[in-house]
Amino acid sequence: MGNSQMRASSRKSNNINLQPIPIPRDAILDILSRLPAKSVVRFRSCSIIHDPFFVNLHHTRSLTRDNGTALCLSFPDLSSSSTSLSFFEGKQGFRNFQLSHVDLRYSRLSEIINGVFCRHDCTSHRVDICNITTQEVTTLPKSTYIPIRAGFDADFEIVYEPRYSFGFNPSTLEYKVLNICSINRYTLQLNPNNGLSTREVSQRMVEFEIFTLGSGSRAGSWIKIDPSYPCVRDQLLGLSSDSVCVGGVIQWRHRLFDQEIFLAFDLPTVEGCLALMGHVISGSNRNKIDLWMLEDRRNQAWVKERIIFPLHSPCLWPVGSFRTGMILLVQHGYAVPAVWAAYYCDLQTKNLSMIQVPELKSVKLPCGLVGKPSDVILTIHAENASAQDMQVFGKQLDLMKRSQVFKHVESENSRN
Amino acid sequence: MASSESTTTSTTTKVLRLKSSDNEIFGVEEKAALQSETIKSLAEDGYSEDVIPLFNVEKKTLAKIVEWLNKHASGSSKEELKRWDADFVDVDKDVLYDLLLASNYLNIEVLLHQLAQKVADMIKGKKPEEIRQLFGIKNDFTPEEEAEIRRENAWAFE
Repeated sequence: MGNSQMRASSRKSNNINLQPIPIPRDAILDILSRLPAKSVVRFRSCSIIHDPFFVNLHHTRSLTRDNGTALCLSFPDLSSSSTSLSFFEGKQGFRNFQLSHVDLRYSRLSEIINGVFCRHDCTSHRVDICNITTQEVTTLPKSTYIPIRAGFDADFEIVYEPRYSFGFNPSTLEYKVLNICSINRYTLQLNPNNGLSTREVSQRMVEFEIFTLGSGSRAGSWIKIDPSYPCVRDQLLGLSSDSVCVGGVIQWRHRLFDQEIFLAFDLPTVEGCLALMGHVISGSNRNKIDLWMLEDRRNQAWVKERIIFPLHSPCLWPVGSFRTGMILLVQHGYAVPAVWAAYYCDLQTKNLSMIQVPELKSVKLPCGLVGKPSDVILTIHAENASAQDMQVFGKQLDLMKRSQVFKHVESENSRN
Repeated sequence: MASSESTTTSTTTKVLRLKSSDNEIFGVEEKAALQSETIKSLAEDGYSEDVIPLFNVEKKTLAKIVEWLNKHASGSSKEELKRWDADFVDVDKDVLYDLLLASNYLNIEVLLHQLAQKVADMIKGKKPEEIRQLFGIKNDFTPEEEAEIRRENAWAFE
C-alpha cells in the first residue's frame, strides 16, 4: 500500500502537465475494438481506427458484445417512396434509418454483409456501397458492361442485364462486387411491307467481372474474369435470385427448367469458381429441406444436412446463414398472397423459431412467388466502423456526403 | 507437465526467478510464469536456470502481475476467477495503466484482454478531449478539420 501511494503520487502530483508514456498501438486498438461504433467514430480524428485490421477486429467483437448486434429489417416505405432500415436491438428498442432516393421499384439492395450493402440502380446502373453504421455511401466506377446504345440506323441491338452480387472475402478482409452480365445481341430486320422492324436473338453471352474494394493492387477497378463452370453458361442467363455470401462464397438460388439449383462463387480463389450445389426442393415432403453446405472449400467437400420441421409447419426456404450454425428461413408464397414470415433455425438443435417483428406483418408476398419479396432484407446486423475514405477505397472513387442518402428517422427516444 | 519428462532432476514445481527493473526478484512457479509469452521465450532462450530480467516492469507492478499469474494457475473455478478478476482490475487509473503496459510487454493475452475491456468500459460515453488526455493522444487536427469531422459524423456526437 505504502509503495503504491508513493509511486502514484510521483506521477499524479500535477497530472495536468505530465506527459504519460504512450500506450502501445496494439493495446489501444484492442481497447477501442471493444467500444460501440458510436464511441469509435468519435475517434475518427485519430487515424488509428482507419486500419482495416482494426475495423475487422471491432466488427468481430461487435458480434458478441452486448448491444453490438441487431436484427436488421429493410422494407419499402410506401408513404415516402424510400426504404426503411429498422434495427431491433433488444432492450434498447429499435431505431430506424431511411434510405432516401432509393425507390425500390428501380433499385436492388444486396444482402447486408458486416453492416455493409451494395445497391444497384437499375435505370442509371449506378452501384453504391453503403455502410449502415457510419452512414457512408461510395459510388463505384461504371461497369465495363454498361449499356451501349447502338447507332440510330444500326441493324443490331445489344441488351445488357447486369446482376450485381455483393461478397466479402474473410481471408483478405476485402469486399467484392461480382457482376454476372447477360448480354443479348439481336439483329433487327425491317419488314418492307409495314415498315416495322422485328428482332431476333443472334447471340447470347454471359460475362463476368469483379470489383474489389480496398487499397490492394487489384482494387479500384472492374476486372474481367473467366470462372470455371461445370455446365453451359447459358444456364446463367436471367439469374434472378438474391445472392447470399457465406465465408467468402457468394451463393444464389437459380431455377433451371424443373429443378432448383444453388450456385456458388468462391471469392478467395484467384479467378473464382462456380460450383453446382445440388437441387433442394423435395416435392410433397415440404417439411424437409436438404441443405448442401460447403464444408471444406479447398477440397470442394460438400456436406448434406437434412432438416426436418414439425408437420404442419409452413413451407420454408433457406435464404442465408448467420453466425455459426444458424440459418435464416422464409416462408414460401404459394396459394393466396400470403403474409410473409421469417424463421431461424439452429442447425445443432434443429429448433425452429419465428422472428417476431411487428413490421413484418405488413409484408405480403405476391401469389406464386417463392422465397421472400425481393425488396425485403432480413439479416443480422453487427456494427461496422469502417471508414470508406480514400485510404480504404482508392482515390478514384467518388465519396458522396452520406447525409444525401441516409436520413435519421426521429423515433430514437428509446436510445440514450 | 511436459517439462518433467525431459530431465529427472527438475520437478514439476520448478520455480522461475523474475527480476523487476528496480532489481527486486520474484519467484514464480514455472507453470504460472509461462502464461506470459515473453517469459516463455526468454525461458526457452536459456534464461530459465538464471534470473529472468524484466527491464520494463517495476516491482510494484510485477508484484500484481505475479499475483495474477499465480491465481490463474491455481485451478480456481470459473466463477471464482471471474469475481477475482473483477476485483483485480478495479484499481486506480495509474495502476491500470502500468498493468496494461506490463501485460502488453509480458504478452499475457488473457490479462491484456481483461484490462482492455476495463479501459473500454471507462471510455464509453466520454468526450474525445477526455479520452485524448487519458491515452496521451496528441490532437493533430486543426480546429477546422475537427469541426468538419464532427459535422460529418454528427450522429456519433449527439
